[in-house]
Amino acid sequence: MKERELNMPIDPHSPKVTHRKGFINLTTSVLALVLVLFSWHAYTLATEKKQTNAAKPTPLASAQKPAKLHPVTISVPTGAPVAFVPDPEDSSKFVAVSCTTCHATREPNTKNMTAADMDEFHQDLNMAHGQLSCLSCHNPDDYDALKKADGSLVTYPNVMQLCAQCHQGRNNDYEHGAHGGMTGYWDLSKGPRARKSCIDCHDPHAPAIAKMLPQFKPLDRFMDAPQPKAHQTQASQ
Amino acid sequence: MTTQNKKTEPRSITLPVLGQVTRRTALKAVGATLGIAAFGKAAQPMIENFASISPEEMFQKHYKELDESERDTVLKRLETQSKEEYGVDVTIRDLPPLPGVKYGYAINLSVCNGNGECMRACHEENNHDRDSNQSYIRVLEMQQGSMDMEKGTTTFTHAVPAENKFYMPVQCQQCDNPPCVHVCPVEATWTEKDGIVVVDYNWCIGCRYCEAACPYHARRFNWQTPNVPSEQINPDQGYLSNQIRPAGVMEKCTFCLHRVRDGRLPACLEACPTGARVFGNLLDPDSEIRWVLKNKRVFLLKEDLGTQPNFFYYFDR
Repeated sequence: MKERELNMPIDPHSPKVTHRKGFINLTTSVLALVLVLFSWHAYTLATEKKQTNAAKPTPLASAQKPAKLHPVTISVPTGAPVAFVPDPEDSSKFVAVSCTTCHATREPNTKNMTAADMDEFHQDLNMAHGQLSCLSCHNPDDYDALKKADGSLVTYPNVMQLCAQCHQGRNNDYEHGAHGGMTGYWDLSKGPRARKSCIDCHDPHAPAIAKMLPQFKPLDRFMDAPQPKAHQTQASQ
Repeated sequence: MTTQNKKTEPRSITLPVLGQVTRRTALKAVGATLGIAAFGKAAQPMIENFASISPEEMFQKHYKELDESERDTVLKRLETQSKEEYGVDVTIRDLPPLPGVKYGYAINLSVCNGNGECMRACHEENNHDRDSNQSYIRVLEMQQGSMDMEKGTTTFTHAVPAENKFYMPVQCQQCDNPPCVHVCPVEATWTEKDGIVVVDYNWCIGCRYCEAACPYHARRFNWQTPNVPSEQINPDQGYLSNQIRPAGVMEKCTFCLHRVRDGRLPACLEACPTGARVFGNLLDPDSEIRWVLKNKRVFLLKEDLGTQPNFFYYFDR
């Protein structure tokens, strides 16, 4: 009979089971009490530890960032560019003139695409920027400023807005610090950062980065033998 | 017949001067003299080395066991040494790890063109040996379509970027599971709280196990005391980073510890003319490096080795 009882499926309505349940309840509640006490103890320990740590600087979480951050400056042009032309009164001297000085007296020619189209000025210009023409970016209404694709005016200090209208992806990278050179501080709470603008590295007329010649080579025994002589002859060619 | 003669008259051969000495004893004496001379010759570098090391340097404790005043004494001593040996006033600091900071570094391989200015900046910033053009960075020229670092070459001198090539600068990856640290027999190298793997140049015995263990070939050995002209010495130095190292110890990239723990960017990043490098705090969710990790196709070099680098590579497209 006893054996059968043990093997019997537990009937939740039988008094024996209720008694067992009560026993389990008692054990769990005692256990829970112990657990609560223990965790409370652990908590007090942790808070004590926290209080001792409080003397040290707190971790730099986004919420705890110091309110005062040093600035990030971008080396954009301060104003419209100037051209140096021979002084009409003294041909041995050059004077700086603004773009409008000449362009105010000339009709804009929308057909001009490259330096080859020029017959008087800007013939030395290297123009290799997709299918863009001069007036894609230059503003025929005000040559001391630029214009966006929608015709709105952009001043030279805001030149990066002009680049960004086509190169949104690059601009997005730039805004998140993943494109473009910089110097200064990674931690802006400690010091400022200076960033290059688009046109510091990219010539707006021919934006592809030119090829470079490596100038510095460690005399390294790694992978292939050092070839200082070969390097010199090749560099001089 | 001859053998019999030798057997019967072994003592007949004597040295002309030392009449009573047997041939065996004489040979022993000669051997001993030669042995002592050879030992002396072999030990000469060690003796010379000891002569050049001050007792303070010889018995300096491990970096981690130095208390604050002892550390200050060590830094003072090194500054004085620089003044005596190079005639340059240097400042050697030992900046502690910044709380809540773990450094991460990423390179955009779509942008890097292999010009190698990062190597030069490292060379100048970290007071590397001028004779060997030492640098903690190697810019590898890689065949497009391959990710096998071992097939990269470093000695290219043509204009970059070349056709069908891409360029991958490799330096210390500041691994979370660094093989170089595991193999060090004297615990002269370890990971700091901000993730930087450093070397105690005073404690290092120069066994070069770490150099062999590093799968990125990122460790360097000082074959000689770095030859740096006085006027080219970078006076802003860190004890665990760019202080002028003694000969015979290992060294490695520390993300310019003396700069980054001051909040500044590493020298290689500032020097990069293509802006391919991104540096920042991995624990700051708003940092540039975190944005790259979240938004770019990032890969780890030799990820399969389980070294868990804090150095990342990515492509734009």
